[in-house]
Amino acid sequence: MRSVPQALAWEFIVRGRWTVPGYFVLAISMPVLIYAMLRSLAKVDVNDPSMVMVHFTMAQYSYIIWAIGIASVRGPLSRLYTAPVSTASLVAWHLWTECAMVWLGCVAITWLMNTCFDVGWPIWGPALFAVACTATIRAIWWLTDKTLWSVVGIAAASIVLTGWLQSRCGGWFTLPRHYWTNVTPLETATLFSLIGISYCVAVFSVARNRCGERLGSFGIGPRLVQWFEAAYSIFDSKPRSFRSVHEAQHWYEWQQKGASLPAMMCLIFSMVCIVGLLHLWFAPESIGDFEAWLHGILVLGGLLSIFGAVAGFFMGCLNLDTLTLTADASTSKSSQLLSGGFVMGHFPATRPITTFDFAMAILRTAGKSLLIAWSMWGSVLVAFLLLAASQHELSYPIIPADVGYWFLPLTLLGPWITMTTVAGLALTGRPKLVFAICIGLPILCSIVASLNARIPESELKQQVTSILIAFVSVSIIAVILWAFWTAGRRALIPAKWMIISGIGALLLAFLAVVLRPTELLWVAYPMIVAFAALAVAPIATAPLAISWNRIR
Amino acid sequence: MADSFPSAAPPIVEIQRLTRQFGIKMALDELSLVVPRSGVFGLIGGNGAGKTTLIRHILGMLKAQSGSVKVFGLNPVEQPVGVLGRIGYLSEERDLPNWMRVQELMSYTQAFYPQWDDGYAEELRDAFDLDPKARIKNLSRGQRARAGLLIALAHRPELLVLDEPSSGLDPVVRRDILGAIIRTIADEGRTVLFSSHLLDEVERVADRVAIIHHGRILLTASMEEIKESHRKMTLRFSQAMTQPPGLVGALSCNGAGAEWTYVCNGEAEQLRRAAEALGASVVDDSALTLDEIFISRVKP
Repeated sequence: MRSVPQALAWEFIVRGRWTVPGYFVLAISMPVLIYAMLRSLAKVDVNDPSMVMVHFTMAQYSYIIWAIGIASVRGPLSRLYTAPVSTASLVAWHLWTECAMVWLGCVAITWLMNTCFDVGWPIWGPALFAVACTATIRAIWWLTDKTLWSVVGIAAASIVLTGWLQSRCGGWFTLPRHYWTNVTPLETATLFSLIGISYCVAVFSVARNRCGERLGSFGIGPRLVQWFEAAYSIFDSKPRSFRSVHEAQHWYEWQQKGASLPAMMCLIFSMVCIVGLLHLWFAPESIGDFEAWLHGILVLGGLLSIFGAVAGFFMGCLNLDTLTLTADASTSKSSQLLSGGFVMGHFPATRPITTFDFAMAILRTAGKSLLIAWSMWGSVLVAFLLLAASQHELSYPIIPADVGYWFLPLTLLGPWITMTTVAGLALTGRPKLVFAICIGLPILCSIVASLNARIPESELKQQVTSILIAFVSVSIIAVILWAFWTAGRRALIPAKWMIISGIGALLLAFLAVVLRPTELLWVAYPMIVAFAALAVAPIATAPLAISWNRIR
Repeated sequence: MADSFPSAAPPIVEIQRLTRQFGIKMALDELSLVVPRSGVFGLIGGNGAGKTTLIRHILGMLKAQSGSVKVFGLNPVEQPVGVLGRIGYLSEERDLPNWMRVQELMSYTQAFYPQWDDGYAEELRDAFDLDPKARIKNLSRGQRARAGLLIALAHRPELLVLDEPSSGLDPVVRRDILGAIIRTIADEGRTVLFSSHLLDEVERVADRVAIIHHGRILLTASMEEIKESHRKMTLRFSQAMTQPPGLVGALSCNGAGAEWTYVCNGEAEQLRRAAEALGASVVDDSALTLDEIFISRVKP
């Protein structure tokens, strides 16, 4: 290599030769899937307000995933601190190339979406905005490096930037009403100024970090840590003793991962409170819409399944320390980071514990974590309903008819299924496999949905959809049966638990069929059985995955 | 050298024709090894020789692709609890959970071992000067090694497995580790299997040694046998030579002119006779250190 930029470019290409295309697919797959499904259901009117909202959400999702992918491939700047290069050059190479990659990716995503689905997504404004966001978040990241301020800084910047983007599509405190098609010179100047300021902040921050200076915490960080340690020691004054291996392992898992889902709920509620307060301050007239709030809370219940999937990654991580350490030490190649966390290390692998006990400790932790998070959501829902009733704002039915009371148990079952499915995948300790599934599944679904959308006759389309759903359901049931059979054959689960799982799945399916609110299509029955099987599947899949990870 | 098995007791580890391949790299190549019950067994080899892979098979973390592994007469993959419950293990990586406190680590580990000796654990903690309230993440590298050693020893395992226990540690911690080995074998019938780069340490404490190289066992024997059967002899020939003449049992040779130094495998008297047969006189004859034997074996 003749120059440092060349060496960095080579490093980026080598590191990202698989992950960059992977992240691109991951970034575009969700909008492709959604638009393909929408198209298969009805003709899409891009000017419909709901489609503007879909664009607003999906474009942000894609750009964020893409930017995260680029950032993870780039690696930490600290690895170059000892290189004989000025800080300004160091930051410039890092920041400008990252910004350029983000811009290219965003333009490519938008162009592909417009070409494939004719959705009329604006290109230039959002792409420039994504670049400005990248520069701003990077600058804050470096400025607040390894301090608690990073959480505060990034959260504040995200809220302000999202608000600004929202204001381009309607208003700061209203839902997006139109596309941001015309980028005014003032908007361009604003974004370029933001990029410039971010660069200056980044140079200042990196110069400090390079010589070991950190942003002052005013003693808040250490005091907080001290306070938590003191609070913890009150509950932990006596040395703990465990009655059984299972209890010890459950404690081990709970200490590390138990708070993941409740913490996510706390974060969401905090953000909702902040947004609510901002609304109260700037647009008080919009705060009293009880129906909108109820919808919001119900949507949050639905989103529990997505949070569950995220928490599943934590539940399936056997070595959270390594994950943190790797991130800190910042070898930072995504695959290394994942391997470090998910591949079973010596410490857990050499505990004399059966694979079943190990799996049950993780599942118990997942279940407890979910119950706490669900209770938090349920409490908010009940509190809100009581408030609405006291204000005589409660309309009936409380749960909208198009959603139905089925929704309530599904808010518990859905996250359990997503969490344990993702945890099961993560527990295999094969990050490449998980990555391939994460990429491959959306692609497959997108292709199927796109092909289905091309069927002209609606009746035929419905039949094909039903057959596909039935096929997927039966496949899921078959895979789960295979998992139980294999786990039983390899003596990974006791026979008692196999019987309990079978009875549990049948009972769930029976209840779902008996208590069905309306007459169901034939395709719903295999789906119900598949869901019931998925609910008990972790009893077999978790020990199988752990065994595969533990013994290589 | 034939492995002269010294004890009538069943071996603690018995490995037969074990093969392991990672991609195209052959990590273990039809390796056979017997670790006898009681005593200290040193496993020495260079980087990538296959020591850790072998240990991972013994712990049941790797399944034999071909061949068999028996520990206490059990298959560690099929009966992990039965095997791991009797093993104390200290890994090279010292991947202890950072978030735990020392006391928590002890309590947590205790749950897995019914034979855990509370008094002994406390005694070790005192000896290793570990603060029970300290978090593992705040411990130094040496303290982490000590914490790992504590939980490996406190249940008085039948087999103590130490994978590169001294790597990167200061002499004080290394002394603790050697002390731990001595403590373990002080209890009758217990065995220590440890791999190391530090051959002087192995030489000091091991009863038996195996040299592993490119996934194969080059040599396994007792320390005395190894010492007795390896000599360094300097021979003087009547005239200068460009190439050293072949000597029976020679593992390596260097020198120039009329004087050549051989590292040989064989009995001293036998080697002297072989030298005389070549018309050379023995200028110097000395025993080898384990270090020299190792180098001559892996880099002839």
